[in-house]
Formats: sequence, structure tokens, C-alpha cells
Amino acid sequence: MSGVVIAGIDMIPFGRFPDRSLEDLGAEAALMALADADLTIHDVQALYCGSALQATAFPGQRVLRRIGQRTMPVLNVVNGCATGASAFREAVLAVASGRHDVALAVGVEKMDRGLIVMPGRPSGFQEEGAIGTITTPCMFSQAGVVHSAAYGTTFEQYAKVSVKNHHHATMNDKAFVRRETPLEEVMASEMIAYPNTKLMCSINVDGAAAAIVTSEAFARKHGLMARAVRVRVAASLASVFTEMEDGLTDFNEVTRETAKLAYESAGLGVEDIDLVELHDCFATAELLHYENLGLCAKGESGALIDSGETALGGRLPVNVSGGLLSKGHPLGATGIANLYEICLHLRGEAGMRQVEGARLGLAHIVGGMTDYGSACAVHILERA
Amino acid sequence: MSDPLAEPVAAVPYVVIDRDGDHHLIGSRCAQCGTTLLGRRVACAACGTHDSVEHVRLADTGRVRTCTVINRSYPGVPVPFIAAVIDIDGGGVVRGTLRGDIPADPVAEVGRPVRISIEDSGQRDTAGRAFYSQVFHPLGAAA
Repeated sequence: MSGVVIAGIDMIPFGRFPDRSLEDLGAEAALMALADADLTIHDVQALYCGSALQATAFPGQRVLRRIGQRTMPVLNVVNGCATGASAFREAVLAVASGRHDVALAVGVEKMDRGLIVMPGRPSGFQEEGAIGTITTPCMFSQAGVVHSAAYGTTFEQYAKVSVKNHHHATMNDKAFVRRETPLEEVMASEMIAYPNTKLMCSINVDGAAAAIVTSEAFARKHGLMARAVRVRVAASLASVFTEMEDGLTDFNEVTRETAKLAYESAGLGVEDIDLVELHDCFATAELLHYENLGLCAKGESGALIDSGETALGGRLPVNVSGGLLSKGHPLGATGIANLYEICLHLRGEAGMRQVEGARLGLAHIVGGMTDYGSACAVHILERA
Repeated sequence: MSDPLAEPVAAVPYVVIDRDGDHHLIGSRCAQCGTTLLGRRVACAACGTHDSVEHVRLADTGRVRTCTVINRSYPGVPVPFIAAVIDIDGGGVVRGTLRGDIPADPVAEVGRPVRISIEDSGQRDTAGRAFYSQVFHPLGAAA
């Protein structure tokens, strides 16, 4: 992935904006990212727009009409929770190929409250409750139970993820939830699907984030390198076969394989990484991904959260943004928001939650739907 | 109450309705790599071989691979219920609802043997036929 940089990136504070349209949110993020890069829409040659719930309704075109209809191709991208990261990756690949010098990636979502109602199910037989559930918490709760049965990982260890990430979010004014949640409160919160309580579930909110991806040559020519962040690798895989997937959608093996591909492609190891933003859609997921991303050995993620090494100030801070558990999880925007957090740290602009001396950061996203499949992306960014 | 004698129809593609009442799950076995998959497949998902797949009847027993108690579901769906993933004896994996008492600790349910039964879901299609789907009944203590 030589010669591709993020010249500008930003996110709007995530929240609930009932009076604002999808395109207004996306346009705001796009203009913020352009301003961050000190560029305008006149410099942009292609737009990649991720929206998981409105991908069939031309979200990219709607954003473009809000920010200036310069003549360019638009590709609308959908890939479950990996939607935003997939749109970003398409922008990176377009620049890496030499097709474009400057590409804009936007991730945007408007969401309803409560459980996500999965689209595309055949009508007639109402399977919910009759043959288990297709609700999203279930997948990650069942995966947590698998881990607990194999390694003795406890409810308390899973709950500690929420304590840590909510603490981090008290230092992030763009997060939706910005308050401390003591362990007792997390564990006593309404049980949604054991072992995930309500405070261990990410929140459905509206949000948008955007990134300006350019060639390093363009950035150098236009004096943008001072704040540029290099894209070391943009890896993505989907629906890696697992023997359990007819009963439980896999998020582990696809993450392991994508991380392996990313490390190998970049010529890096986990020991080189200074901070990680990973897909904590539910608290159980964070511990599983410690192992999947190689932060610790199999079965040792409970001990890792106990050690405090993944908290700010620890050996390898994870989700210092507050994670999806605190920021909220507007599906299409989440992937670019994770990259934004990494960029802040690599530029030394993260304020109170700055990971000191950060040079390399890893952003991970994985999504999936019961019975259907998964999609994962791992990006490694480097201070330029 | 819906007609208990309504004609059965498969609620999901991997349920086979038998005219003599011997309803069961159908799967696919790959002669190349030995993997057993749920439902009728055209190729092996595990190894990619496309001419090696044989459709086979799956067993009506298995063990709980994982489960959780669902306390929040879609509007109108009664809770709590147990959502379980079953390792079918002899191969294959299937998800569904596990009957029996709501466990305090779902982790302790892992390994519990179950009987896989194809039953009337109580739901009817527009023609009045009964949707039949898999249900899991606990057989004994978790092992």
C-alpha cells in the first residue's frame, strides 16, 4: 500500500438527530474532512460512500449534491458493520492503483433505537423466537459463552470492557455516552442476552465520518505531509469458513485471517502497534478480538483485561476513543470513525486521551448477520 | 387455536417434511473433505469442491455447543427463551430454540445432550398450512 495517505479525516459527534437527513450528516463530515486536509470538493476525483441501511438509495449522490456536484464517479458501499471501512478501503485501492490522486470516503448512518431489525428475511414464517433469534446481541453473547466454556472467562471480565471503554469516553467529547460506569453498575444493568447487559451493548445512533485519501505524491506537491497519516495496509476478508457457521456467524476466524493478512502485508507484528481501535459492538467481542488480533494468546483475554494493559496508560491501549460502546455504532460511519481516532493519536492531537509517542495504530471492524455471513477489515496506519 | 391437523410445510429450507411424519433435518456431506453442512448444497463451503457433495439425513440428537438466554427480542416475541447452537451427532450444526427451564448460567448448558425434534411452530401460511421447524429438547445433564 505504498504511497497512500490520509490527508484529512473527521467525524461529527455521534448522537440522535431526528431533524437532520442522512445527506446532511454525511455532507457535514465530508466538509470537515476536506477542511482538515485544507482541500475543497474541487480537488476530489471520486467518492466512496458507505451506508449499511440506505445503500440502495444513492447515499453518496445525495451527499455530493450537498457539497458540490463536481463531475466524478460515486460508488455506494455496503458490507454490514464493515461498511465504512470497506468504503475507505475502496478509496485507498483507487488511489493506490493510480486511478485517482484524491478520493473522498464517507460513512454515514441514520438509525432507529433498539434492536436492529435485519432486512431481507423471507416473509411468512416468523422465525424470531421459534428457531432462536437473529438479534445481534445473541451472536456475540453466544460467542462469549463459547469462550467462557473453553477458558473460564467470567461475566465480570467481560463487564470490565465496558468500565474501561466508558472511562475512556469521558475524555472524548464526540462520544455519545460520556460517563463513568462502575463495574457493579455494568453487571447490574438489564441483562439483554447473557453475558451482555445493556451497558455492554453498543448504542444505535446517527453519525457520519469522512476521510480524504490522496497519493503521497499529491500530498507532497500540495504541502499536506505535515499532518498526513500513511496507510500501511488495507486488508479485508469475508465469510471465512468455520465448522460452526451454520449455527453461529463467525467473527473470530475472519478477524484472525484478516489480521494475519494485514500484519504480513505490512511486514509488521502486533508488537509494533501502539494503539488499537477494535470492534467492541458488545463487550464480549472486545475480549475475543484481543486474541483474534494477536494482542494475547488464545484463552488469555480475560487475564489481559484484568491486567489493565489495554487501558489508556497501559502497554497497548484499546479503544481509547471509548469504542462503539461509548461513541455509539452508526453502522456505516463506524469504520471511518475508528480510523479518525487512530489518526488523532498519530498526529498527537488526541488531547487528554493521547497515547504518547504513537507511531503505528490498528483499526479493526467486523460485521455479520445470522445465517448470512461476515465481513472484516483491518487497517494499519503510520505517522508519516 | 389453529388447526392441529393442518398440512405441515417446512418453515426453513433444511427441514424435510415426510408424508409418514418422519420429519428431519437434511444436510450435505463432502466426500472430498468430510465436512457436513446444513441444508442442500451445490458445493462444499469448506473445500470448494463442487462435485463431491451428497445430501444426507442429519441425526435427531446432538449437544449444546453454545447458548444464551434472550431477554430482549423483537416486539411481540415472548421472552425469555434460550437461543442455542447444536452440534448434531454425526456432523452438522443447527441453531434454534432450546426448551426447558431458563438456566441461571448458560455456560453450564454447554455440552448438554438434546433431542432435535421437527414440530408444529403454531404458525400458519396463507394457505392454512402449518410451519414446521426444529426445536431442541434437553435429554440430560451437560457433559
